[in-house]
Amino acid sequence: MINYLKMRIVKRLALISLGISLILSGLQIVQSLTPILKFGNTFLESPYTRWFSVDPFNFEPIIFYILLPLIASIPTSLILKEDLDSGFIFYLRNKFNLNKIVFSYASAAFIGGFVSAIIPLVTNFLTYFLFIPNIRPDFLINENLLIINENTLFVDLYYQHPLMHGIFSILLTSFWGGLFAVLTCSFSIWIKGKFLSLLSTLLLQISILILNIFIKIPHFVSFLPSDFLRETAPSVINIATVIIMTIIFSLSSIFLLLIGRNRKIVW
Amino acid sequence: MFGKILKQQLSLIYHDRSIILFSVLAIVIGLSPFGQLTILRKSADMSQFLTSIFSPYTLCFGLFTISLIASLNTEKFRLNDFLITRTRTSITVSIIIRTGFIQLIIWLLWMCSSILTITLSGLGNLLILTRFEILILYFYVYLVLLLLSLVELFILTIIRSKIIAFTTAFGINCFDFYLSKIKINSLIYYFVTPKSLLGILVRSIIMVILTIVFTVSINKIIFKKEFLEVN
Repeated sequence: MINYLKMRIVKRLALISLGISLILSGLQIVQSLTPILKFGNTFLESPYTRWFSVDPFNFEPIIFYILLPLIASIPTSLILKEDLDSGFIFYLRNKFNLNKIVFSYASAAFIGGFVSAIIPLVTNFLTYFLFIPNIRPDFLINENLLIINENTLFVDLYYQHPLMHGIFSILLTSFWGGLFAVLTCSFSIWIKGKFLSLLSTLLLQISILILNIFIKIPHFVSFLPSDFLRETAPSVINIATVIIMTIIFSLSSIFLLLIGRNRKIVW
Repeated sequence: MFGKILKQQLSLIYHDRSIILFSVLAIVIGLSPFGQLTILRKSADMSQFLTSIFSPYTLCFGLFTISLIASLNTEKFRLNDFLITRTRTSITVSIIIRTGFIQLIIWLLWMCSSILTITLSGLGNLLILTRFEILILYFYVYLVLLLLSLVELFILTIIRSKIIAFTTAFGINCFDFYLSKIKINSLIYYFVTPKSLLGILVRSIIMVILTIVFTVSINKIIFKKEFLEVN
């Protein structure tokens, strides 16, 4: 089953997804590093204050984190939909248990989303270590970035062990990439059109973005994934909303998959 | 020929269920500046009033993205269509009619709900005071929607890949938003900080010319294209 799914990945689509994300992360490096290389590192910048997820001055991180559902779900999350349309899944049912089939399709989607989100972030983070010295960020020197308790999760960890904090941020973002891919996979059972099912999670994120302007929860905490996935968010974030949103997204994707298995795949 | 294609496309749009989703989203986008407008009621500031209705962030990631997805989602044609009409122009005409109508539906719903929001939040007098300028700005947004979706369809006719077409058009949209953010003259996002009425008129004429150019070039490509490998 795993070997079959490995063979099923369309390399062209995976390359498109990687290309979009790598172009965005590369442009951010060029924009962010040119003033430092030109005028010297006068403000004691370090990779932890300049990399993709922290950077509050450039426009590319906003686009990347809003397009994250699309980037994560391009490579592997439509395999289940294609096999349902072509009827290949009924051949697989003779050989494997149905639970195992659905679980392996979902896990393939998760791994695809995880990998396609982790590669641009890791390359961006590591590229900064080639150009800027590895200094621990200081609250007074880097005050212009305003990395405080309200817009960063576990801010004391950031000032003590910034590398650990960055790694945790990358892992959280890639976990959410996997979640988005699984959600696309479970939406694709229900939606008829192929293109709309690919973009369904992007539409979901856009509707959350509009609702975030519309509905204000106490203390103006943002519940938009593209806000709280960043290491330093542009708005107020809270650990409780992050956990609640993660639970909602994972439970809804699991339930949609299970109900879809009972209603659409078996009838 | 034209009437038949119009009838066919209207019936296709009428029976498309996914347009309901996009219209609901467009209505919610129109309602979204309600909170800001109620704060503005105490101090009626003209520029803040305009930026809260035509908020570039909401339009860039909300309305324009939705219209891009909607115009690609319903994009399909049958080989029988130009075999029956015996010209390849029919495909271009159907593309233009379909995108125009879908953008019109989304734009009309957004405009109506946004005007409703202004009147509900108690700023109706400002709306009457600036009715001419606001109508021009609303029309400008419709031209932007049409231009962006035509750029997208132009890329789709060159390479039959919907993902690349969507990301390219979205990238152009975001790039123009970036230009307007760093205060360089931009074409699409000029309506955020309109300096003069003449500028708006000149830019809308440029956009009309660009839409015509893209339409003609789509027609040219379709005339030279091999259709047998498609779908």
